[in-house]
Amino acid sequence: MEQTVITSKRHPLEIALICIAAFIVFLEVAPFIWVVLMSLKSRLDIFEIPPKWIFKPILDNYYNAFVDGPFSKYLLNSLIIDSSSTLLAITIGTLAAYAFSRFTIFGAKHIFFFILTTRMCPPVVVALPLFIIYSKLKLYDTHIGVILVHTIFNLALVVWLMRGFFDEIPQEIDQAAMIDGHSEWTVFRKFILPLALPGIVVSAMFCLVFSWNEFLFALILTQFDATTLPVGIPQLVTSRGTYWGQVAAVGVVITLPVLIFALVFHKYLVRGLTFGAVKT
Amino acid sequence: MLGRKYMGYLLLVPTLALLVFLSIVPFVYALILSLRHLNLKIPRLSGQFAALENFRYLMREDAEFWHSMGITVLFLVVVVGIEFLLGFGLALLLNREFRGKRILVSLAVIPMMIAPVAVGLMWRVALNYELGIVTYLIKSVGIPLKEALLGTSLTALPTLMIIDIWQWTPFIFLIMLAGLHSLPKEPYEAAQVDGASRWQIFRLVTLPLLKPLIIIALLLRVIDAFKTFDQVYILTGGGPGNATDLVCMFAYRTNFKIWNLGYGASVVIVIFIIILIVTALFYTVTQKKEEEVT
Repeated sequence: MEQTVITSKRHPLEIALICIAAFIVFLEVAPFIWVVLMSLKSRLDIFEIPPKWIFKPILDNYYNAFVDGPFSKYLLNSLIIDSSSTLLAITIGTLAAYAFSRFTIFGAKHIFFFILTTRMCPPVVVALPLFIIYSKLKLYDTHIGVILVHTIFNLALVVWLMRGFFDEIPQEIDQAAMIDGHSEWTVFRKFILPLALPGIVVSAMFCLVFSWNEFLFALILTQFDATTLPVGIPQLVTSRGTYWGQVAAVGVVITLPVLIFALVFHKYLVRGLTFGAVKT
Repeated sequence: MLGRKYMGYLLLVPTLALLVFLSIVPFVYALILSLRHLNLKIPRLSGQFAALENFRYLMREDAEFWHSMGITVLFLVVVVGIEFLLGFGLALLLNREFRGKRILVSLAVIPMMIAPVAVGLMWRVALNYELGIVTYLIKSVGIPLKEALLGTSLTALPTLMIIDIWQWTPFIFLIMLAGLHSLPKEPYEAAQVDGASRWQIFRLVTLPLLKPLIIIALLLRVIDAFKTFDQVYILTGGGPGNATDLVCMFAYRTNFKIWNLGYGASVVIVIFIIILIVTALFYTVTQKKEEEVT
């Protein structure tokens, strides 16, 4: 009963609280609005103080960064590297997660923990040895090189998330299929995998985002040929000055896909960000 | 038919192979390096076996390292503490139904989903002394600002903290909101029958029920805050002086700027051990939570 009263007529205090919350959310978003505006300003308008709120929007910054500058190349590199590493991490990570979910494995707990440590470990810990190994194996500044490291740090996420998704599929389904005479592999491929598809999509999207955002590995292991979008941005800060307009333009491009992701996969954000520890 | 016995191991092979190649091998490499003198700028000493000399120097003599550890811990405690209070508070505020809630929550989580590099550069623009909007706003409120906020050793670290709080408060908020949504109804009904006050209900029912979730959120934040690198790299490079030289930045500089590889490796090993301990805590908590559920 009380519930209906609250929704039909709100207490003024409650409205005030919601307004406070809305204001905090505004603070979270405001810097982005400013960056979007900045990316559409001319060089002169950017330096205008007080900031101009009304101006003639132009696309010069985008043109300079992506057509005249190297950013279309970096964008392409990012797309190649992120999609390949996601595909790889999902493929082999899903298999491993299935093993943890359905089979008895000697030392499973320890292996599961070890996989997590590869994710939690700061990139700087293995950066230098990787740099040396990559130089020797001629993987330095190659797409394959970056794809492999990105696969590594996404693998742990996939294994942890997918194990949870597999655990949610009732064991009775496997047993029924086994009784029908299907082999272990067929059970996995024909019965379990389709049921786990939503989980796979969610995991893949998280891999894409983390790979898209990853900085330190790509910074250390590339020079130009395989440079990704995040590594390209700091190059706009030069000794002759900073191309603020282009910084803003690239910032918008790097932000938009993630924004869409956050809106679409809203429901799974908590689960993905806590490695499946909190199920929603 | 291969049988159940081997299938599980077979499925694990690709993952473990890749992890061995790209995690264990580099780590063992770092371990070996840490036992040697190897400084690309001082070839005289290079390659000599040093036993634990690097670690001894690190622990006993390197004031710069301890300065880094000190400000990292300070950074971590301040940032995670405030994020928790703000995020939890915000979750309690928004733990009710109203129109536009979904969109509000989606917007709030944007800062933490975006590339840290982009966040760093965005703030670099906003804090720029000549054209930054934050500088402009501070001045227009009437506070005199002689230098950029990131330009003085007094204000640089607190500025980094505020940026981190801005970026990661939504993380705590999102987790706590999910937690509040999943709370069972019965204990609340029972508490109301017993005539408990709102504060008592919060302290004696809500908090204990949310405890595992709070621990998980805090541990994840501690790990991430300890790893903070991208923003420091973009915003201050560890400066001015070494005012914002958080420990990952310190490790990066030792390895890739000073090229003191042997010593850098020992720094990195110490960082790894610390992370390992926190990760183990996280693992224990999540496994316990799983067992409680099942």
